[in-house]
Amino acid sequence: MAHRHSHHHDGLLTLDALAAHSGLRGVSPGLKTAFSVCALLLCVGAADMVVGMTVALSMILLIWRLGKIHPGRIAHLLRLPLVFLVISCLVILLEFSRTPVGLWQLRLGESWICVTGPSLNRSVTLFFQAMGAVCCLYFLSTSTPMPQLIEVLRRCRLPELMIELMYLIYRYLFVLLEVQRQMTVAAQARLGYSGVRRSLTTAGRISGCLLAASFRRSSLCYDAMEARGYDGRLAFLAHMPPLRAAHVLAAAAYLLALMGLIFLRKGWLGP
Amino acid sequence: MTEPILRLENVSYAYPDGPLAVENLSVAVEKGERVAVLGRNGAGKSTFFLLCNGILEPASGTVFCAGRAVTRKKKDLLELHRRVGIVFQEAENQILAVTVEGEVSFGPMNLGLPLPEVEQRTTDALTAMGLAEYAQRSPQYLSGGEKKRVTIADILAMKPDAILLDEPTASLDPENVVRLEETLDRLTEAGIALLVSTHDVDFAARFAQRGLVFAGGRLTADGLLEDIFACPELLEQAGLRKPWIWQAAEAVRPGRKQYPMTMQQLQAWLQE
Repeated sequence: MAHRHSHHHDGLLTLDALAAHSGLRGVSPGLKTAFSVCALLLCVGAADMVVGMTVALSMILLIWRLGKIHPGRIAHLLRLPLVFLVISCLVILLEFSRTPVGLWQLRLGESWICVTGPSLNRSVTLFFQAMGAVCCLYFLSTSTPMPQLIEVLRRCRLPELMIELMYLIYRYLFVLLEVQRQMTVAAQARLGYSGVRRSLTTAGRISGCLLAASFRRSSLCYDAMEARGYDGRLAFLAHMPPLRAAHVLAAAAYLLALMGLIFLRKGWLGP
Repeated sequence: MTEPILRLENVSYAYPDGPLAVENLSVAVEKGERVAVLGRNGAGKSTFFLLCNGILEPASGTVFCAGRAVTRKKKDLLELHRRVGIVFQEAENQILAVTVEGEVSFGPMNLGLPLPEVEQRTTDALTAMGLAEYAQRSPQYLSGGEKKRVTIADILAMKPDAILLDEPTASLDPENVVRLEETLDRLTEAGIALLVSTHDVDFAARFAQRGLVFAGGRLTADGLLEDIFACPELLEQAGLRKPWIWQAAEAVRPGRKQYPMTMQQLQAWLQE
């Protein structure tokens, strides 16, 4: 089922399925969250290309070796942010100038497009800084199922209402995606997607129907909730993998090593 | 005689801006009983279920739960929700939580039980439905049959006296219908009364001896299924047909009042 879907709604369902089967699903979600947030802050804060590269590569390695996710899948996941990053870094890399300066120039009528030392440095640093951050977040999202992440937020004392909404939104996202998929297939079967104009109309109609279907469904769902004694508070049993000393030590060791590297790069160590 | 688990006395109900959906309904269900609820779509079966569980408030008449009249007080209603559970037709509309375990724990949590008790009941209900390994799964990765079992476990975790199943066979493949029938047998062994609404008369004949027939918001028959199927006017009024085995047996030896409805009955009947 999940595989049939993943074709249509790539990102979300892929990540969800990957997290559900991750090799790291037995590790405390709180620890994973704290770990990736700390690594992310260090990586962004350091603003250093070697640190960024190290974080990115080590996170990919963790996702691959510990998360047991196929490298092809990781590459697939990284494709989108990579395209985005390359484009934005190119913009920073290239500078316009009236005279040819820097390491590389291209004449463009009256002015020049140049790559200078500082601009090269800036864009490469930014690239790895952002890549490191993206990989930190991928580490979290490929290893921690959404329900556990929401539970972590609950324990961080986020308002109860927000937590309940997050649970319901996450749950009904899948229900609605399935309804939407069925409607789309039904529309395709009647040639609803031949031509741009018709595709747009069809997509619009489907959105409308989806809204109507959601309203109908909501009253049925409410009946079902009431039938089980719902009285305004949404409470479920949430089983969380326990915190283990070995995992904490491993995470701490990684972060300390990363800090060491940052100190080294900044020249804060030694004479 | 002990009090019936559930008794409705002259209950009527009308939806806002609608005619009477259920009219002057009186019916009683004993402990461990099995009842098939038959009738057209819109005949009042679902409304009947919602009245039994206390979601809808009768416009007139009284619902008795284990001999006590149910008022609209919160405590009474919670007791009725606990004792009489509904398994809804669409599992997608019932499943609410993001893990199977969370889903099944929803009812016990609402009953305000202590956490260890909730955990125990959740585990027991999952084990009883053969879902023990699925505890941490997300519902979106379950098959139709598995989802149906989760929705039954939902109710089981509340330790009910009666379970009302709204067209449980509607979206199941034949293999899962067989599994469902086995599950229902186990529930009966556990002493839980079962009311099953269905359009599948063959399934109804296998499942129960007693049938309720709804037509136009009224209970038109409450009795043995073989009496119900022997009454052509009743069947026509409710839009029902006779079970295939009945029809086949009737074709072989026409002119009798009653015929077998299940395989076992047919075998015995052929040896007469």
